[in-house]
Amino acid sequence: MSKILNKLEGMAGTDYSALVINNRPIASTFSKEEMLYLKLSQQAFVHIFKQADKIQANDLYDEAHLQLGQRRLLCFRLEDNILYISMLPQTNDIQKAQKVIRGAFSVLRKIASASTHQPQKN
Amino acid sequence: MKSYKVLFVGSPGSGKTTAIRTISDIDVVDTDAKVSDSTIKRKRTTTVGMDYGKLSLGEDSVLHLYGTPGQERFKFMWDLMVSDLANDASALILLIDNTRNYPFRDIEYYLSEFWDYIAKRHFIIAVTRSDLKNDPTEADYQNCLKEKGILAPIIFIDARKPMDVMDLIMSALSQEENINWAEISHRVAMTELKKRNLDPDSPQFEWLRKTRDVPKISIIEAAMQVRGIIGATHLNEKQVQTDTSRHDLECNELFRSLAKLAAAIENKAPQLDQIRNISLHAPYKESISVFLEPDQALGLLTNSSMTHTQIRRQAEDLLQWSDNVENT
Repeated sequence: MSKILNKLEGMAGTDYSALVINNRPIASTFSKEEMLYLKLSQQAFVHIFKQADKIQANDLYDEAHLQLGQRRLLCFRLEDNILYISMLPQTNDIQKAQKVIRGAFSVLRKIASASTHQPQKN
Repeated sequence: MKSYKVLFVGSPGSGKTTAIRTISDIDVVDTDAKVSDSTIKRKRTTTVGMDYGKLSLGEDSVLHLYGTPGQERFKFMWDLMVSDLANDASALILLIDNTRNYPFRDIEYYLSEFWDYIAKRHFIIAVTRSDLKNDPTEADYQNCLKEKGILAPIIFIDARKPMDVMDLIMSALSQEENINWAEISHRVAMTELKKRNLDPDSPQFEWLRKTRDVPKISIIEAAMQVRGIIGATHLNEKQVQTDTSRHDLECNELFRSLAKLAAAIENKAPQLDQIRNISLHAPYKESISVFLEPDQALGLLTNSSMTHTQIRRQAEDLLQWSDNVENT
């Protein structure tokens, strides 16, 4: 699973990424040093979408960004309980990352779906 | 004929056009256009192409003065000038407007944008508008550069004064020999004396009139003049709304909530960098963004056609000019 994430990172220009289901990362390439960013941003993104949904009952926002200093965390809401979180260096192209990741939505959904139907292997 | 070149860079309104115009022997070739975005707060016109002036350094040498457009949206001109027109320049002069809210951020930004260029040339920082705001001081700038491990002269100037700009030029070309600076300075000073005219309506003061401060408008008024921005709300450091384009804006509560979230994260994990921005997007949907500074925040509702980079550029510029900081 991490191989697919790595490949997507290469195309999108992101450094790290994770697929999160029900608040738990089922696959992640975040290094030990960067894990705090994943943990913190995961909680933050859940809160951000929750607040946004309050003003938009329909046609929900499916993408949120969090910029911490030189790091930009991008979060895509694939389903209510499925998030794809990635970290983008400030100098990299946001639009390219957005386009590539959105293009991979179906693949990410398939991975998420498969992982919920079978036990996770390391 | 020996020719030298110097490149002036800096934020919009930092005085690049004025500095070049002040010492140029020829009428400056400028590409000023009426301001159409948040820069409207400070200037009536802005450079959209480049500035070019010329200063004779004697019978057989000349200095070409180039100025980049300040706004990031004309960045293609920066690339063109760095790689072509001013590729063989002796020095880069970075003009820093001391009245901006976060001038050190400008230094950081231009260092990162022009790093490769600066590394091979003489680099000088010229601080302008310190007559309007004397803080940060020269010592503050020196500390800022020291932290970055950079050695560069920091010169406080009034870009309208020829002898101040001459100080910059002398520093920029300090390694060049055989230039009679005393003679050039004398000539520049004499020209300035001859040009003096007490009639403020005379045509020669046109450039001064064009660049003088205009009545200030609030960050929200400035934001609403930017194409693509539909709504704007300003918050103080306590995440309390200080101004808004529309009190019935649905996302006002969300702006506050996102700013509070940023403060909560910073409290929870103070070891991490400061949160600068939180934003929400969806295809064909208006974007919601909050840009945060330690002492203020700006919430923007923008058209789906505006890219994240465009929104960020405008927000950062608006926050740099914001007068609301002291009011909060």
